[in-house]
Amino acid sequence: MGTSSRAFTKQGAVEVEAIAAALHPKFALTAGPEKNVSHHWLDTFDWRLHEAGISLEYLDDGPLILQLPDGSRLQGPRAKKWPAVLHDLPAGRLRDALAPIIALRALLSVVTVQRAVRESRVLNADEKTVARLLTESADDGTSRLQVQPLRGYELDGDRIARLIGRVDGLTSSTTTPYDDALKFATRSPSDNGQHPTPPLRPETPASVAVANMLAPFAAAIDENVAGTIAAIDTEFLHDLRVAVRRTRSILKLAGDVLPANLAERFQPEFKWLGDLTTPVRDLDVYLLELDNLAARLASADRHDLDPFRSFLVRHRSAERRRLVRGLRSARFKQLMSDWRTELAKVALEGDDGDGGPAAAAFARQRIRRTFRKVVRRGKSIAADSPSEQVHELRKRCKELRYLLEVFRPLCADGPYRPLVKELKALQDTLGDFQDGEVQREAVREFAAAMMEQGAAPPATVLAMGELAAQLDAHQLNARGELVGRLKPFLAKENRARVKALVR
Amino acid sequence: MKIYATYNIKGGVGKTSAAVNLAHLAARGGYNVLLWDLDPQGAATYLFRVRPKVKGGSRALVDGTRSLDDAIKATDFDGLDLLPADFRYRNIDLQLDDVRRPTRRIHQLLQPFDSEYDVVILDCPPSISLLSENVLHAVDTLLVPMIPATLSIRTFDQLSSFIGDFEGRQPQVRAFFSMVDRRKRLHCDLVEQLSAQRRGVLTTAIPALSIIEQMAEQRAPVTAFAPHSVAAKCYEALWYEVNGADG
Repeated sequence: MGTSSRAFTKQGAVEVEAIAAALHPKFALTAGPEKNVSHHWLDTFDWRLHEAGISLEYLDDGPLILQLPDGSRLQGPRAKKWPAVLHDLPAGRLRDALAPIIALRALLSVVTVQRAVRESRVLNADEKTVARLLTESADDGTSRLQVQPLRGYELDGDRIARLIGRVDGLTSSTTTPYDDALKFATRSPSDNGQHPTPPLRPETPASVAVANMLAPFAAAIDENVAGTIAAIDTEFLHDLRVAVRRTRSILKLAGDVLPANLAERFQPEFKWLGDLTTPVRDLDVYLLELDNLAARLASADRHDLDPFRSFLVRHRSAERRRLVRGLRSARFKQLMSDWRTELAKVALEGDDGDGGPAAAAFARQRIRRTFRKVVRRGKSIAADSPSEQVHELRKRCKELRYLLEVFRPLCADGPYRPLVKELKALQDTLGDFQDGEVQREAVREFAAAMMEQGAAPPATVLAMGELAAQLDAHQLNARGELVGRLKPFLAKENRARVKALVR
Repeated sequence: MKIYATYNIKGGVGKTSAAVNLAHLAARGGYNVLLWDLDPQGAATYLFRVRPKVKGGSRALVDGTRSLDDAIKATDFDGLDLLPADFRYRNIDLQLDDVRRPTRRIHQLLQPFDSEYDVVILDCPPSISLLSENVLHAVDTLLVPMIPATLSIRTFDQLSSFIGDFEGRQPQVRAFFSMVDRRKRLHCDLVEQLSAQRRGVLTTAIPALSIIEQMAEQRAPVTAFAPHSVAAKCYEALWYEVNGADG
């Protein structure tokens, strides 16, 4: 890559003659016709491509064009419709490049803009094309010019960019075409899960602090409802559930500072919401994992699990109908509207002076209390402990993690980072253990339900048996690891870190 | 990545024309294509207006001091890249002789491109040499243009039997008639008989047409500058027959 800019902007139209004159005599310019085209830009709901400095677009009916931060481009066929998840895209290099970035997220049409576009070719003395020049003019009178050197002609590309940079009125562009297009989009990357909240200070009244930390979760629930109902991708429901779980944990661990019995009033409602979302999420997890599990089958054929997959899909459709009804219900709408109103009220009233203890003292007390619970539970865990006990420990660990996250601004960096790192490692092991446990039980229950409905051919039941056995083995492994992971977390260092956390 | 080569011991039978047009058609169909001009005469390189120079020459490629990546040039056509010829390729046999497993070097050199290109076409010089043996070991399909003549058929049979003796992986051999003169009785008879009787002989034949010769003037594939010509249609049919099995 060259060091000079290869993208320029100009107020008014770019004149082909001026560019040709600047390139002469080293290069010649063959200007193509000007065309009106629609640019369609795609990204995930949480702007993963934008964050990675990548743009993905197609022009009119053209193929998908992926532009990487280093300026290299990949082209590939489009999906039949948008939104599209990864497997809706035809296999190929473009899909492979997107896979690690978008993972489970769907690509959505983010913005469409009309542009007058001209593609010109820059030829060297052999009349060989060495670069393409793309000029685009927008309705607001601004134009963009981009030099795209062909492979093997990067030095020519730099020379061309330098020559063009001398043309009057052209300035190096600091934004990408995607950035420019996003000015016309209804959503923008800057509002990605970033809900502005007043800063959390040590002296902030605890009730205000808690209301302020709950408000972004309420917003996260709200913004994931439409995507969940429309079944755009499985991450909407996942994010919605995470926000509900965080809300419930904070209500449980710190809700008592909120006035007017808010916690008591809303806890049952958020439990209802959590329970409403559980069945579909569980089924999502099985369906997402099924290919991996099937690939590990040794005795059974992976296709023996096909009736199981169909059963899960049917079951999920039924559960989804229930979920969608719930999310469209008056009860849900009422819950969210009351909740937002109450939180806003607390944030306002608390500032008047009667907001309970200061946030720092409150955080110190609650983090210590929750940490003590984790330690107590953790100490009683041995390699042969019943899985209910392990499950309880996992829940306490999650609660501790949420508390640490919401009180992050009050915590000292020194003890915070290593503490969270070790907690994370422990949670990963616990998650592994718990997921295996739940899946193993569920496989048995599903097999029984399928047999009852006459939907389970013998080969499928045998394959599901093998699956359960594999999950058993996985479980044993996770158990072995668990005790090893617990030790460092329960060590003295972490107790000292918790003590030093909030000063 | 599927690797093809256009190859014949004889020169002037339409190898480069086939390589250039098939590469263009593959790219036009949406594949990412690399055309490697292995012929020191550099006809394919000339057609794409690329300078016939590879830094370090064939030695640098063969002994691995430079990667192929640095030598690749985009052509004027989307999706079609060229690895240009270099006059120093004429010494490639001697250089290949110096490396370990000298008959597998081209195959090794192409492996890093597996994720980058869908189709690679090697345009080979007319000879039977260490380089051609390398090519035979590297390709999935060998495309052999033949002038309709009894001796050409004999050469094709010799080639098939030579490849048949390879241990392990053997490329497919697909011959097609090239420079066919419809006015010549012998041409018509041979094309008809052999494509029906002989396994590995394709049914598409490329006629001898002046528009194919014009490629050197136009410096472009005939499928690009005269896409509706008979010649372009014949190359399309040939590409379809060669690639049809893969969709």
